[in-house]
Amino acid sequence: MTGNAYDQMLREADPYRPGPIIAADQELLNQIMAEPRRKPYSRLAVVGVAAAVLIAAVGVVVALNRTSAAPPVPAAPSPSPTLAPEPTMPAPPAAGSLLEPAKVSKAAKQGSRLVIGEPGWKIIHLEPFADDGGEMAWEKGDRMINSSWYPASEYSYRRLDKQKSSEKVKLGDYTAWMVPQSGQFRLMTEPRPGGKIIVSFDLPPGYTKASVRTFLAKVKTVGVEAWVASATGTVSRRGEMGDRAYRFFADAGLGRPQSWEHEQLEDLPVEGSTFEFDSALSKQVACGFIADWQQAEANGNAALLEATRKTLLTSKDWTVLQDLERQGSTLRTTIVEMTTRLATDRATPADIKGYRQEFC
Amino acid sequence: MGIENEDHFRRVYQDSFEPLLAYALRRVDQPADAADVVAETFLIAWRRGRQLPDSDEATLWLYGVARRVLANHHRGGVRRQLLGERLRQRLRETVAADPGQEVPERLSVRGILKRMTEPDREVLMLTFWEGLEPREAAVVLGISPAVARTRLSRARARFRELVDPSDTVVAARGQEEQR
Repeated sequence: MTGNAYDQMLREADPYRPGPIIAADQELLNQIMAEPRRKPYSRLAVVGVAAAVLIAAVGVVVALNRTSAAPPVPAAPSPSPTLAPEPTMPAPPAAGSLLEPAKVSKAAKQGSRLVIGEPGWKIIHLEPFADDGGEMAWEKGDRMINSSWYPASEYSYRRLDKQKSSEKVKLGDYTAWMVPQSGQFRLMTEPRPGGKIIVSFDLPPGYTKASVRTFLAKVKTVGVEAWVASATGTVSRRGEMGDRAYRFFADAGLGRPQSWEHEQLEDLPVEGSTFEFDSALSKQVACGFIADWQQAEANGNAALLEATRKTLLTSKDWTVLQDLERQGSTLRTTIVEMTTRLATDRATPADIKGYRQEFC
Repeated sequence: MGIENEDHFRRVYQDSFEPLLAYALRRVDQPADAADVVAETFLIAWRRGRQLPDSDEATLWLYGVARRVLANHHRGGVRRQLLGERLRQRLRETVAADPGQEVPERLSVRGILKRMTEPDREVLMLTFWEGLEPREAAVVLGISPAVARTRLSRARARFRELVDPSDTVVAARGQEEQR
């Protein structure tokens, strides 16, 4: 079959069949527009928090600048079993990165381990999505390089060497074939003897053949430790924050308050380790559940109250809290205590006020 | 929210309701559950007011919101009981799923999609079911167009790999092509 046939299979598998037209539901529209929007004071509160975060962040930057002349201090080993380096692995990414150690480890073991020698390129995306398969991207200013690695078994239909305009180049230790495509240069490596992967490498527009060769001369294939060290920098902190929160909600059983919105991530500090981010997100979630509970009680919304109660009672199983606890955090204890007291109607107004002060 | 913004929301609601409902129907097991996804997505849009983009971008933005709502739905999250009940009822009546009516090949393809990673599956569904260009899928997924293109390329390859050539349905199609 051709690629088009596979695409057609996908199109035909669309389960949606436009049947009797379901027009935009007017009743639902009216219900939604009758709902209150975020009140101005809550927006001001957010601004206040953001300002506080900004001040704190500026403080951090100033502090960092003041100590920038000092020699770098190695990251302290994490007490977390999940973060602890394997015997053959180097330390996990630096504290300021949200790149997940498991991802970095997998990419280091199975990926291309390419390092771009030209200064200024930073990893902004890393996704080892399968065994012998993954993708990553580097960014420098407004330019981006995309690279994927695939199982060597896919070489037959990914190879570029048979294209008329292909040229043989070196990509780190790999032998690759380069072709121009739509004003850009695309590379695909050959399988190495005994190697499990092949690697694609897509350069941004603006390169000539000569400048590509100059650029490629500085691309290196390095060992696992050196590659992990190079993967510690990421400029896409916001993207990583969203990805990480999304994974917690989707895959790690973290309850999501009904009042929680994705944009609230912007209220969390940009600086800090995964431990700090996970703690801040957990507090934000706890705060959201308090808001849900109070709103449901105030409005006499029994359905919301019951649904919130059920979610709160799952808090002891939220893996993000369990991981934090393993790293020495007491947050799980306080959040589970709060959620249990709320869900069992044992929280007094004074308790709730105290919880709000702690989490909000 | 001023009257101008209210009108903007109404327009977006009218224009995006059907594509958003289709998006949700494609991703839930029970058609009626799509009502919850649509209701919560538009509610979030309403609450965010001025963040709601104009024109075509609004639908992409809503897909992105719905994707996160669905993640919560699949996790068994809170269902907004009071909104969209009539829509739920209409969906129960008009979009009743009947697996017996499905072509086996389609079920097979959907089974393969379920075996894929979420990022790969979603980019394929956005491309071939919602009919989005990679740059549009990138908006929904919150990634750069370049990353979306790379992901789509990878996902298509992965899909091809997962389609077992010895499968009778696929083999039959292959034979048809050769004729």
